[in-house]
Amino acid sequence: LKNRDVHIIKGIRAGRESAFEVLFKDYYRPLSVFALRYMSDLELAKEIVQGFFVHLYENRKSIIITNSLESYLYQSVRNRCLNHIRQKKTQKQHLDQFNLKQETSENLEEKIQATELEHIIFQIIASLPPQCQRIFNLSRVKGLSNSEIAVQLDISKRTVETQISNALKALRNTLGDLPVK
Amino acid sequence: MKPKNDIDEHLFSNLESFQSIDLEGDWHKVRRRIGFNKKKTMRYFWQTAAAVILILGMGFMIQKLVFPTQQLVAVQAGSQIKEVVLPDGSSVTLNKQAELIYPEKFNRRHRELELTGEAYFEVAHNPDQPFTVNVDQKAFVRVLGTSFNISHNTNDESISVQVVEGKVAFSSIQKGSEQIILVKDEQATLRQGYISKKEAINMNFLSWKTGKLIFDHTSIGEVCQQLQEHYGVEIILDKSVPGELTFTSTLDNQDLDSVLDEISLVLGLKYSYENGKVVFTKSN
Repeated sequence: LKNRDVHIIKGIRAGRESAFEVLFKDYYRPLSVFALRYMSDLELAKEIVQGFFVHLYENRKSIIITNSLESYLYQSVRNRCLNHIRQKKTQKQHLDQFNLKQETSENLEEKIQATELEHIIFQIIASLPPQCQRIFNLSRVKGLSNSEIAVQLDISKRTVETQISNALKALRNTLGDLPVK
Repeated sequence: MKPKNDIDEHLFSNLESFQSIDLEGDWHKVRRRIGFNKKKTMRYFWQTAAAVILILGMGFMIQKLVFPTQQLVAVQAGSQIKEVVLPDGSSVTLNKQAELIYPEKFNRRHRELELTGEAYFEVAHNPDQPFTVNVDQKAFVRVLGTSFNISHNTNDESISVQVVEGKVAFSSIQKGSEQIILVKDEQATLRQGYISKKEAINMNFLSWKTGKLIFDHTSIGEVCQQLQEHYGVEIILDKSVPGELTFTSTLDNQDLDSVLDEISLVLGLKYSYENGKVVFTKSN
């Protein structure tokens, strides 16, 4: 258990809102995106993660976290997602689709790691200058071509290319430092 | 240019989801569900505020009980004699120009006052609450319940106490100085740090208050001395006046001229004003 995590868990046990807020703001978005792997839409995923946080706080005194705070959070969210799916019989096809019974813990580990990596990528993108972020989003998220972006933002195609290459460079720089998992 | 493979597709759709999440808004949703709401913070604030006020209030009350802060009252007689009734029922008569400072409410354990000038005290009896007069920051007069007069002669810086009734302790303000106990009809004077006690009391020490001067076979020199003090005018005896003359009379609120007339008539003297001073000479 990391020092920072111990600190946060202690704070939450003591009922300190500030500690709980730190935990929420660190993990709410990655957990929601992670929940998307099980849930069909983002609203539902967010709802499940919010419900998990409320439950976590309300049961803060009885919760025991032994290994890692992160895996505890991801596993809990996963369980919640699966419970939700089980309860919704109409979503039986989901059950089959994810072949839940056969999902191994290794499988889950991979998912968690993938989500964490994504989270890092998202953080890097979020740290880019607003214009660069916007161009990168239009290009990679919306799938627009460089020329389309240039027209939409009323800038030169060359600028679009430079901004995208800057963004990619930033990603490469940080991700290159990560230990290979 | 569409450089998207499957992984990219997945990653970037997740990025879009990630970016669309309203972190602040959802945090507020969650904290409301938990009950970290404003009301609770406000209630907490008011509870804290109430506790703080309570503690301060208690502290203030305790402080009040242990060290009562005294609201002081200052009375100045000015050009007239002034009577003051103290919060304990004691009465003080201030001679002209005298000043008395006393607390609006006496401490439970003692009654303390400050006096400048001359005053006559009739102290309400209370052995549990000694009555102390600090005279001009020079002397203490402490009593339990009695009547006495304090005068401060600014010419020779002496302070005198005359006791009419009861018992009075008289001491210099200096630490470790002796304390003189005075009883009825005794008087003591503090002069240059020493206290001298006189048994024969000047019966006219209260004349400033009563307006009465009583002389009973009093030497002419003493009579002039007391008239001088009472009327505030200098009186000189010419060499022609025999020193062994004595005067007996009770003068009740008389003006100076009628007193001088009376003395002249009885003792065969005459008087005149010279430069604002009264001069007695033997009448032929």
